[in-house]
Amino acid sequence: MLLIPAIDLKDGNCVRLRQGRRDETTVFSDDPVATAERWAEAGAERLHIIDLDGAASGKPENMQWVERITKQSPPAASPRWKTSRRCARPTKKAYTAWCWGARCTRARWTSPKPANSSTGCARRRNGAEGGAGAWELPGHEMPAAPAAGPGLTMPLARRVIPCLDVNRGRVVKGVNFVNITDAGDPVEIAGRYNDEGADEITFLDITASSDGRDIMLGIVERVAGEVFMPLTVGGGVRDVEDIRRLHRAGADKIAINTAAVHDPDLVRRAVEKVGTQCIVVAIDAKKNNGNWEIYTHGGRTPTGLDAVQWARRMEDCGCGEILLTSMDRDGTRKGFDLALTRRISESVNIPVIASGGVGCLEHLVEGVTEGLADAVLAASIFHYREHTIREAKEYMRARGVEVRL
Amino acid sequence: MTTITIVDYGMGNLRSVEKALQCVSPQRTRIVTGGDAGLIDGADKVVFPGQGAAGDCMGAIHARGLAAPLARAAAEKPFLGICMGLQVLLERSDENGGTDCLGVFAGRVRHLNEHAGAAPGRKIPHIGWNRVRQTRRHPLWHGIADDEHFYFVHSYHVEPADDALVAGRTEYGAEFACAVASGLVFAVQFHPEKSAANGLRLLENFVRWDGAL
Repeated sequence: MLLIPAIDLKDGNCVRLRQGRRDETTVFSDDPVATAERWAEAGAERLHIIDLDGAASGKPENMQWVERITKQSPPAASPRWKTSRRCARPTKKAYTAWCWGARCTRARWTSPKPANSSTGCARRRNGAEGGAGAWELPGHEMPAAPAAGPGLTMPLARRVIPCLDVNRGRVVKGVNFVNITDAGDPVEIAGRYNDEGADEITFLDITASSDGRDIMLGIVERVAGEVFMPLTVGGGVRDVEDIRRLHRAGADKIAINTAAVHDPDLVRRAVEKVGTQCIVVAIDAKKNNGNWEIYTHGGRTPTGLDAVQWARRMEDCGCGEILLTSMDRDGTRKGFDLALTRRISESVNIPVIASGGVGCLEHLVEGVTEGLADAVLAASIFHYREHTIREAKEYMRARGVEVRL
Repeated sequence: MTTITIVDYGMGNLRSVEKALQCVSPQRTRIVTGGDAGLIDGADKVVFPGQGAAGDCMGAIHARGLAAPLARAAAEKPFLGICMGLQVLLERSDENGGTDCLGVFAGRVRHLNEHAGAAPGRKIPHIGWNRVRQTRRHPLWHGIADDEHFYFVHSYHVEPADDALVAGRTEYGAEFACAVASGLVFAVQFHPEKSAANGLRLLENFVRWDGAL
């Protein structure tokens, strides 16, 4: 269980509003930085910072305090920062988490009815006290659903796909493809997502060595035998034989990335063997002078290929879906690269799965309404139990997105 | 003991179908996966899945001499078709420049884009969870609410000549038949083995079904 202390900021003070009423304020401290440090010393792994003035005015008002808090170094003497699994690299990670809390309230700041915000804060504080979750943004508190665009009236549900990066049989989650932390056992996590109503599960095998790859086959077999929903597996797929082995093990779809760049005809050959519906082309793209360039090898190698042209070419080769990851956003929790997602989605006539950067539930909605994605993929917000899949879907439905509940 | 044969003719991965059936079957059920005519003739019930293109599927069926045993099974015992296992039950598919199929049902298989009144701009294949409207009562719908989601992956859809055979419809730009039932045959375009709780319920209903309507 994760206990998250919350700091409500109003006029530069740490406050508590009685029943959310701004005229009934108790000031606990006039020094938010000192308060944050005190929580850190007491062993808090995350902080939840709420800008009450911002909630009322509709724009950030206490950013200077958030920034000052996030710039502080954690107390070196506090051993819990170092031993915490979640904060394996305490100085950076912990403070990134602090920023996310503030960023996630941005969804509320855009609310046309600021009154919603105070109730939301109250709800969140209750959540923190119960240790249930950090940034709960319940759907029924959100502003009215946006007018449905042509894509939103389709009865086909937008899919919510939890992604599990697997390294030597363990689920891990990287930040910008580099830092990696452990998040658990893949079969167990897949079972939990199934129970929560995930529409599909994606495993990306990031194991470097070939002997580790057989572990993945075993995991796919176990998951496919227990979880009756679509299963996509990618990472390190080199040739048609790899694809057939994963397919036989129980993968419904196989994602190809690097190998497709080296050998574009692989996609065509694979489609001939296992069918269009089985082949997903994974695109890792990074913004470069107004365009997006494809990277391979888990985001390490630039290719000089343009992402939009590449997506079209892969569609011509017969691939059934595009799994589109923004490398600029992956692991940052800043939300999808919506411009990229929209460009690709409008450029091809096959489903596009948006990936990379989800930090709160509003990001999932944006991926569909602004990025025009057919499916949204996320990892951290689900692995770390900040939100269940069901919460995510209820939130999306409240915002007018068709989901399966 | 009841024997259920899952017809394996080399088209697609049958592991999920097998595991899902095991999951919902009573202990004294034998679930066999195989491509011999004898396994089909000897079964109490037949599950007929399939993935890929119609031309390849029919090629594999003929190469293994399964056309006649499949037609017999469809007439004599509870028979569940899944995905391509629905499409090849019709007379003819437009796929692969035109493919003659098993002809258990009168009608043809057309591309989703050639559907009368289809909205332009839909993405093909139709991949994902879509709602199934039950157009008539059937034992295999038992316990499944109307308009529930099932998982679809396909580019072609069936058009049975007799509209009365349609047991379920789905809308994807335009409506199409996603479940067809006649006598002992129930066949669906979606994948019950990938459709979580609703899919398992449909499979369980099939395992329990004695063929009565």
